[in-house]
Amino acid sequence: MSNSTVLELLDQVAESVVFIDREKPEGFAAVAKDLNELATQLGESGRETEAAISVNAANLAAGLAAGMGNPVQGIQVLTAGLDALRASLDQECRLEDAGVPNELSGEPVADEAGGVPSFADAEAITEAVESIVVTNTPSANDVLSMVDESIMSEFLARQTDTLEEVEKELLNIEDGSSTGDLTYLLRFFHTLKGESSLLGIGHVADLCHATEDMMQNEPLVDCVERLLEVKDWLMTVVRQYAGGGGEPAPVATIMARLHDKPVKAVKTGKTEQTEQSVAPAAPAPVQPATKPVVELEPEPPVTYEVVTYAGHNVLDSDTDLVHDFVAEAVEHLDASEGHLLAIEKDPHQTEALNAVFRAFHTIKGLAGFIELEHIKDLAHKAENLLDMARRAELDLVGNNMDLVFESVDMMKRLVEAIATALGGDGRLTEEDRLPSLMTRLVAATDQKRPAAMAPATLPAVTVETTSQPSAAAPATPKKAGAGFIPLSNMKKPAAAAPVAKAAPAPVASAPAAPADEGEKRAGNAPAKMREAMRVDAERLDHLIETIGELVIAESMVSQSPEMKKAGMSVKLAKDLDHLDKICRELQEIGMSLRMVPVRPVFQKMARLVRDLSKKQDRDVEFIVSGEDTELDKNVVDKIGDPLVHMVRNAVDHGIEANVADRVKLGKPEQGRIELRAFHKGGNICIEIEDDGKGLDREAILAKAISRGMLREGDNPSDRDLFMLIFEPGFSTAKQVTDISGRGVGMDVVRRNIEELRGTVDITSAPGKGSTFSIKLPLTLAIIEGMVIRVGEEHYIIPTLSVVRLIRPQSREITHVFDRGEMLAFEGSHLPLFRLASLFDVDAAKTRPEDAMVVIVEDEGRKVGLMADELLGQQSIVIKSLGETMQGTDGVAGGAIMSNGNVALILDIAGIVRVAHQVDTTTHCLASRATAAASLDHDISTAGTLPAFDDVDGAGDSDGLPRSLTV
Amino acid sequence: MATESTINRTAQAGKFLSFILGDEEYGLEILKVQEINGMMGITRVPRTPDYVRGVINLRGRVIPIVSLRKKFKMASVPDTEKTCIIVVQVRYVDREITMGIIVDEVSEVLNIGDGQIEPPPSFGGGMEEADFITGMGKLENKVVILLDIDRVMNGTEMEAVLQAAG
Repeated sequence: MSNSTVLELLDQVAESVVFIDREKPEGFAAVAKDLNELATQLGESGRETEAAISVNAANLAAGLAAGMGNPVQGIQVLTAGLDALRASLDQECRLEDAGVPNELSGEPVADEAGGVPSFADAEAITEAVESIVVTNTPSANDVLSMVDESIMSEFLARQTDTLEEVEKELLNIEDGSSTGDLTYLLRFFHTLKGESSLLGIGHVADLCHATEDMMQNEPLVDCVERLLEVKDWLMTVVRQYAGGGGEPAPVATIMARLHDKPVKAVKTGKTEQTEQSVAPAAPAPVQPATKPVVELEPEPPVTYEVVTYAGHNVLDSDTDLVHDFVAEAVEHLDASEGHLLAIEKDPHQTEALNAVFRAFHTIKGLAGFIELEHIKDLAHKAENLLDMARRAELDLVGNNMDLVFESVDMMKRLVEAIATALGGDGRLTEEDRLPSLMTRLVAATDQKRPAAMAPATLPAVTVETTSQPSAAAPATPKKAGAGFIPLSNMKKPAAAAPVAKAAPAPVASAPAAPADEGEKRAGNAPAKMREAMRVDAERLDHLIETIGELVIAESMVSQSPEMKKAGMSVKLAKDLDHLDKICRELQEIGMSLRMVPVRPVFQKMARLVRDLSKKQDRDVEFIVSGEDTELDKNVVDKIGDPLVHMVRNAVDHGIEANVADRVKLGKPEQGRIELRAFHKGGNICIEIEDDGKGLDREAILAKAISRGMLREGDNPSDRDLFMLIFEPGFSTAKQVTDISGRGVGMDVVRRNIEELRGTVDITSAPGKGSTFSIKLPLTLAIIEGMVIRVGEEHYIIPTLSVVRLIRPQSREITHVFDRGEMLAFEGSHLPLFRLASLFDVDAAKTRPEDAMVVIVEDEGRKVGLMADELLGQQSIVIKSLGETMQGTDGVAGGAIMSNGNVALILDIAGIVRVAHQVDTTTHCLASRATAAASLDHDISTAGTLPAFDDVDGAGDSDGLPRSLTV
Repeated sequence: MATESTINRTAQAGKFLSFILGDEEYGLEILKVQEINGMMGITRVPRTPDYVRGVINLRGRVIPIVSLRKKFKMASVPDTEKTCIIVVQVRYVDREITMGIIVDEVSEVLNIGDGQIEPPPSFGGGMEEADFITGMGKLENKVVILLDIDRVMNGTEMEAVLQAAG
């Protein structure tokens, strides 16, 4: 008997148990029959223990069919038993660990059937009830999958309204304005009981039943408190099924409270619903529910135990889905951060709060889908907190705000870990701080929960976040089904639409509010409706490459000498012109495809300023502009680091530590840091301006002199002097704090920016503040290059590296040892390399006087490169030479020329570095010759030249998420 | 590399693209072949091993080109009309890379059955190229040398180049 058949049968039985109508015992007979069949099959496959349980269950069912015993409890026991069987078969875990209800374990005893289970002691009862209840709670998805969608959504919609009425009624009873309409309330609960059991929501039915009992046994006034709790709980459940809101506390908790006398507000321990239910075997072991605490004393803080996920292997899931999840989660988290910052500035940003809530909700849903339980849990907890904030049950300030920020951070780390795991062996590592964060989140929500009575916005909540098919129906028909249609941005309009319909009142005010002040601030503009779709970056690169190729092919045709020879007809000339125009247009579009706004990076900076100013206790206003400025994706990804350093410096050292210092200078108490991005003449400029104390010219000068970079009495321009802070020597923390403080990590800044082929500039006035201006090329993929000819080969030198082109006189050339050559240039001697000998080119000019020397510079060090001729200057699309050729010495990459051939781009940094390596260790002139010789040597043995960093904008090894939103 | 070369992989039956180097006919698993191009402008890349002819522009991608003659230490011949670049997908370490190999002439696509494949011959020591052979395809009137192109491109020399490249 194959295992799968058994599982199939098991599922079938489980399904029929769920659908059993308690009033009709016949259903149990069918279940009993199936269970017997299951037992036989289990017995055949050698699973004796499982078979025994199955027999027990069959007996129990048979008893129930005969009308013996409590059907509700019976169903619960059966479900728990079936779940345990399922777990045991699925995971090969021992049955004892799978939580078999006591009634079903042990040797089959015929006469036990249907009898009220006898338990050893009271504790066992608590445990059993709990495990039963918990496992019996159908998850929203299970229910939804079993019930007709339209019935369910109709039911849910109705409950929302009715529950509000009930609450109103209850509140009236409480403040004495009404003696209460017992019949109305009883009718309500009774109807709800009937409907929910029809829909298979057993735990709701059970609760309604218990509530009815209570209301009949106790005076209504005494019940109000508990009834309100029941109502809240039901609300949560309804919302859960509608696809929004968090999971409710286990029904056991609320049930237990019904039996308590309402002496004072009773606190229950936070219980966690396990995710067992019918979902087949979550790989991670599931944490058992904590017991409901029904003591009257204040409870000790609950420590939240995180579902262990250390062993979870993300590669077990569909990796495509996980990839999509990571990309989407990162996007959501980045956006959330912006929204949170906006909320912090103005707590009434309803739309922003909703957006954050939606982000967490989406992440929760996605994580649940791919069984990332720990992420789901965290998202859920954070969502609870946010939900309460939305309902104005708590204020998102101080500790609560920090908690949300922390959750975003933690979530980012967790998502990052998944991304790493995807690239590695798929194993996840535990995040130490997660449990503590969870505990605090739970504490924060718990703390406020008893006060939760806020009405009003609830209906909106339900509809707005719907992502389940039941209620979302027409607006987002496919979302839940396909799970991951990766068109995240399209969801925004979809999700927003129902909000407007369902809750005109609370939302209507939102668009008005940000209009006046929102423009300048990061993230608080209402979500843009611009439609976008996610495309795999590789495909995009391919498209762009193909466009480039088309443009080249086009120019090869139209420039072909044959075309001119043939004497073109006017028509052909016109057509070619037209083709040419289309090609250029295509090329432009192609380039723009890779462009993304700098917004996410700027948002990170806003966050950084917030955290830093809090930590340093400095009041800083952070103003961002031009965050929609678009840059090549690669540039945006790499600009973050330098910006962090500069922004940190601006807060740390720029803005005065002492407010009094500012006031003395007539500046406002609040410091101001401005981050701007804008276009300027084919470049992108990013400026960071602070109104702090400015750079200390004297201190830098003194430092430079003490380090021997300048001589006493030198009076360099401000610009030259300030550039010194980028020098590596200036950058270590100790030395820097001696002077103005500016300069921590500044050499990192410059290096990174130069890597992006950008430049950085400083202006500063003492007492008024400083401005750092970064100038970046629009894209990394294109550089300006000079095409030179050596023999018959063409090479490209990046124009940025070129200092000057000269035609040397013979007297300017000095020979050393007959090998090394030096060139006198501006009073110093530069090593001179013949590209022809460096690259073994035949038929190149041998006399320097006939040739041409390009003086190139890297990090302030110059060398001369001898070539035959300069052919011209042009924009060049950088191509990687591919992995096998990557790092070929002296060559940084390739470029496709207009004739379709490849020309090599020289790696100036590599050549210069080799030239100066020996130079710095020994100081005699002769060693320069060795330097030249050693370049030859080094290159041939290829030990010292650095590998060519993939500068190809369209490169394929940058390890970044390979998708772009266009 | 050492461990890999000791494992003797034998060619599987299937379709092979056969090409000619001098008087010899070689076979490549057809699944490794992406396309066949005539000779085009190859840009020499300095400071690479002699069997690396350079790079070409393959519809916007720059891919390296290896001369199989040089790689197999055969005598060089000038390019002719028939000289071809076979673009192959080669498994390198843990990823696929695209590169071109230059052959004298592309011949045909052969169907070689299991019964027609003989294990690679043994030449004793001193002929490391023998490692590249996965079998000899015995056809009616000729013998085709079946190549493991992955191993050709992962040979010790290539390894050295890549290591040098860092």
